[in-house]
Amino acid sequence: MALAVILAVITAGAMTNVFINAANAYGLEPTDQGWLQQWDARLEPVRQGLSPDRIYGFAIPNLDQIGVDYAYFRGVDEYLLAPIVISDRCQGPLVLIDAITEDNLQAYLDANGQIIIEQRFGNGLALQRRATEREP
Amino acid sequence: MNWALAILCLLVTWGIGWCIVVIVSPQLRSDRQAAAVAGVFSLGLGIAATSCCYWLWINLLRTTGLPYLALEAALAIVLAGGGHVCWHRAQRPPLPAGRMRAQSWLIFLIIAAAMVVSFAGLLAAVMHHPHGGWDAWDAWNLKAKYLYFAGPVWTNIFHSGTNHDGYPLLLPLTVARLWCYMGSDSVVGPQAAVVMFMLLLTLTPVAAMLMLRGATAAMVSLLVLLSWQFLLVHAAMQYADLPLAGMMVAALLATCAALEVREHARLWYVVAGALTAAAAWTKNEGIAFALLLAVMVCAVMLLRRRGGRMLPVLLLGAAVPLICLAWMKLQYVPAGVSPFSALNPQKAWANAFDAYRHVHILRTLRFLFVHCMGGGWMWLAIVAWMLLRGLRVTAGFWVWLIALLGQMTIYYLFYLITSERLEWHLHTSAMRLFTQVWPLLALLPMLLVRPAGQLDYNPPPCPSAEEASPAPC
Repeated sequence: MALAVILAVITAGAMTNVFINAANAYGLEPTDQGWLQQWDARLEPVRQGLSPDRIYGFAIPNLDQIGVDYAYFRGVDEYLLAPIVISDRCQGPLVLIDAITEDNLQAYLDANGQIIIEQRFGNGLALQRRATEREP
Repeated sequence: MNWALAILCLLVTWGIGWCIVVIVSPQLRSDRQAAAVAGVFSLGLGIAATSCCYWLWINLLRTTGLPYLALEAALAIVLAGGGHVCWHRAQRPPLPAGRMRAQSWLIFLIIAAAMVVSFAGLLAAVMHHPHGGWDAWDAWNLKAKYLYFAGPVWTNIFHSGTNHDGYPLLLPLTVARLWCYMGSDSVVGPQAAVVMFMLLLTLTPVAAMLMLRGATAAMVSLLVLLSWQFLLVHAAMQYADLPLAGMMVAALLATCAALEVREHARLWYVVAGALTAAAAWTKNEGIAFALLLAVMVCAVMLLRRRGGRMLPVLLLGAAVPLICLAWMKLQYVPAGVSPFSALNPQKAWANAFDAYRHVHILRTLRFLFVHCMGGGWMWLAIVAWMLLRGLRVTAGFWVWLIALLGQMTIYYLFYLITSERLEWHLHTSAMRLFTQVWPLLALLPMLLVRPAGQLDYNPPPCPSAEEASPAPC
């Protein structure tokens, strides 16, 4: 009898927790991860059969509208975390990131508010410098 | 549609695992309970086997998609044929079904209700975070994309562009397999992988405890796991920590079965070996776990008469995942990439004697422990239940306890000597590491419970035992 009572207590308590956990999961704020639809820009070489060295960096269009200054990105660009930083800190709109290659580089440089973030695949630094020089 | 294909992938995975089980131990045909338990363990076996299969395929042919699916279908057909032959060659006919008692029905209903509620919550959580957390999109799923698209640069996952460069690949390979079934890199792939590993983490303890400690212990084990408040949140993050926890729990339970159950001993040793190696194939932390567990099991074998006979069986089970792991580490991972590559020996030595670091790590562990415990009164009730039910210390308990303590000690030492800033390191990883060991910690007391005096269904008369010694009829 004592065993049955204790088991009933355990079951009731645990099932309450199970329900609370599930309810919390339902109540989780859905995160807008739409910007992540293009997070795999790093896969462009794989998708297009390009050499990874041809991917120079990533553009974050309309950066000025997001309200995060470029200097902030410089602090985290080692890991190319810019997109998630925007999402975490600004509850973002979000940004699309595009892989920059030789073919589309000029178009990005000519557009206003385009920033190229250094990344690990290759010549990011040089192109970043060029992009910065072109900014007003 | 993608979810339907994910379910197909799950069934094929499970089926492949089951065929391996039947080929190893066709005598399961005459033992319904053991067959059901082995059937649940088959999921872990299937995940390990298919991820190794994908790894070998992508290495040899550097292509994926339909050609790989054709290979997997062929493998499934061959294994199903082999399993069918073995199953029907087993001489003993299946036993008549036992009649379940009312108490067992109640336990079954509670287990089913808890599973339904939790998995509904899990689905909601993964839908709310379609891409998972940071490491999911920056490391695990990114690696899966390289493995799925293959091509000439898929080996980039070992050098640059991804986080966790030298980590083993069971999770990314599983996600890539799911994408092969779906025909695209849909977000459903990683979500379905989460469901697959959650099934492994929750069903395996139920099945194993049912066999080892009885139905009520199985129910309490499941409730303890599912009432953990961080479970669904962690699962939704799509990290490799819960898959590793699932593999470690399954490996330890199979080891307990190998050490405590005399029927079908060969099967449990094979399963234990395979799942232990699969844990090593999941994350670097799993390698430490596998080494610890291997040492423990070998020690128990040496202490037991004739225990060493099963060592080759254990190694046979572990062989394929270990070959894949060694292949990856030796051929692809650059020499400088290891968990210890960033260590500075002088600084590590100084850190080891820094009292502040000890205190800070212990405080963090205490904080995590208290938060994972949730309601303390439920644990008091569990302790009371255990005392009333009676305690028994077994070899499996000692192996589990020492493996757990060893694993936590390794984490502790790593935090102690790391060259990274301690606060940052604890902040970014302590919770995830604790996630790996919490299920082991929560299930440990259940192993102390005295096994049920009788089976929880009315058993039919026992046939003559063919394998090993007297059956507990």
